[in-house]
Amino acid sequence: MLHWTYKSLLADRFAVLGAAASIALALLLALYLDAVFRGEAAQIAAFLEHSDADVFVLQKGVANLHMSSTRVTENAIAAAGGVDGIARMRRLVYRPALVGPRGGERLAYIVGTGADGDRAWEIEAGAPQPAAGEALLPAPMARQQGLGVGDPVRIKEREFVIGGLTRGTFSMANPLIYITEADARDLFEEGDGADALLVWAQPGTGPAALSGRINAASDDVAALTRAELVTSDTQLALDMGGALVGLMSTIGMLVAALIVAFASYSFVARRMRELAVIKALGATRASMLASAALQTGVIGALGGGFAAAGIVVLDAALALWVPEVAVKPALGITVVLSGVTLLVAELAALVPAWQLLNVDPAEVFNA
Amino acid sequence: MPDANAAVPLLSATGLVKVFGRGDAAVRAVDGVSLQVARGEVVLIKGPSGSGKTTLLSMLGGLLQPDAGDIALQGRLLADMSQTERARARAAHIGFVFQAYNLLEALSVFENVLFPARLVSGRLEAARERAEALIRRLDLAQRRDALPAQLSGGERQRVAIARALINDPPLLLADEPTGNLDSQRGLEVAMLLHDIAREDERAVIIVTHDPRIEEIADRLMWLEDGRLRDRKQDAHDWAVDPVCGMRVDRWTATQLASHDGHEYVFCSARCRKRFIAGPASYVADGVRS
Ligand SMILES: Nc1ncnc2c1ncn2[C@@H]1O[C@H](COP(=O)(O)OP(=O)(O)O)[C@@H](O)[C@H]1O
Ligand SMILES: [Mg+2]
Repeated sequence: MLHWTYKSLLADRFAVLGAAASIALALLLALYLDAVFRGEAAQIAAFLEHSDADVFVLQKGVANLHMSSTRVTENAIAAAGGVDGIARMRRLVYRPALVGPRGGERLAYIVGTGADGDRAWEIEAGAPQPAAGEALLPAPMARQQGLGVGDPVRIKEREFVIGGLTRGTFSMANPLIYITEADARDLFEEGDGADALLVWAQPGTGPAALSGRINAASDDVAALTRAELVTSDTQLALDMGGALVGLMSTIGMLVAALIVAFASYSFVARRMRELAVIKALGATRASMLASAALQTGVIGALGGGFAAAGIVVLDAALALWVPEVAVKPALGITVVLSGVTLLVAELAALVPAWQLLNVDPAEVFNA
Repeated sequence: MPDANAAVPLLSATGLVKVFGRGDAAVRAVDGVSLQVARGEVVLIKGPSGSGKTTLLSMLGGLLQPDAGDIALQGRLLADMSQTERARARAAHIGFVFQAYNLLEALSVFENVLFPARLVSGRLEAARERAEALIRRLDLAQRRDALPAQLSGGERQRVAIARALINDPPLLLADEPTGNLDSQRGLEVAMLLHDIAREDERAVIIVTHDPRIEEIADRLMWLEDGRLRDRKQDAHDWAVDPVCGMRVDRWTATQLASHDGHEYVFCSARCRKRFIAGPASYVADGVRS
């Protein structure tokens, strides 16, 4: 019976592949949207992940370095700096500002780069470090704004020159711009204050222990380990897309389920006669049901597989054609979505199953 | 299910009734039919169109539940079996041959023949060899890997017969097996069914209104308005017209001629005239009545 199902699906391979491709398209829509938000999240967390600081100290109540503003007071700096186990501490200038050519500015985050821990790590063109009066812009942002290395760019209404173009920290909500620390302090009139503190632990002191001590020492700061901050910033980006991705995934799966159900329905409808024959020859209800499950399973699995392959292809194609959109397809979510689709497909198998069980075997005698 | 008791007939039906529809529109398609069939016996059920032949066969094959009456296969009542048991009994103990062949289009000849073996657990391996043998026996070796769409009607029906035999069932049910075949192929299939009953000790029930098949039957039953009557006493003695090859009943034939100590019968005066003009040429063909 399963052998027959398999052979018949094979005989119908174009219809089966067509249905699978339609399912893949429906899933791709959801997967692509998810990948966009994941890409955004990855770019947002990249700055933190490339830092080697163990603990980040932010203003009390702030849990994200992105999409938020933070300021650490001198008192708090003193209190935090007094705890045991600190090897080194750096005052980070990190501020939002409008950046771009005159009239074409957009919101970006300005990082004052120091000697360590907070520099651009991937350069597409120009210098790897900004000199005085220079700024490093994410390459996709510069392209969008029609700027290149050597062009002037306004940051908070002051003119800089683009010294280099970076990769890896461009997100639609949060592009990172690197200028020298001295320029940054001057630009934001920061003196020697800090928006955040980067703290390195002494050997033998774990990041969690250190952040705990800092939190205990001052009521005015929120100390997070790097891992905590990465998680929190990633989550922030994903939360922005969460509801939308959820909705699209649901719609994608519903469409996929409909296609599976319809494909199974027409497969069975076209084979009513053969199914009557099979039933007459002595196939049991159980094997008829197994056949329905196999049939929808094959269509659903092919659809999921095509979707997974499609997202990889789409990823490569987009990197080529629309580089400013950072997409990061997650294999995990693809597998989950495909798995759920398969499950939904098996639910859709109820349609052919019901048809199969209602085939009248006495049909076979009709000439 | 071996025949524990030889006295138990292979198939026994008593008082079968099937009514379609209700009230004024009700049709008593089968109305009180009883019959018993033993191994090695060929039973022919004939009757006009709409007389209930197919309905009767569907019930005997466990495909349709009678409204009244009992059917026992090898002593076991079909009504006592669960749906699954009935399906298993069909797969293992009954072979079906249909007018419309009903081959599975996506499967090759070999796979079609093998198919019922997949429905009975543990049969498949041994059945492969058997399928090859049946394909040879039914003269299908050349067509072993062909798809049904590539076969002629006669070939399809031979595949269907091989498929019906793959699980070595003691009972074969055939509904109009020659209905879609020309007279030559029809005769071949009829002879095949006859041989299957004789050589393999199977019971074969054939529903047909094809007169060519009558010769192979041990028993002829006549169904009319859902009621069966035995027509064994209705004497027929079929012979073949040596000139045109047509079947003629000796009891009613009017054109007769003797040659070389044999009595020949003819369909018409014209055939008889030709025969008399040169009997040697017709007899030498091996056509004997
Ligand atoms: N499924 C059915 N529903 C209603 N009436 C039926 C059905 N099957 C057969 N009949 C009726 O029962 C009678 C016998 O039909 P059938 O067994 O097919 O006769 P036969 O095979 O001798 O031509 C006919 O009057 C036919 O119309
Ligand atoms: Mg009929």
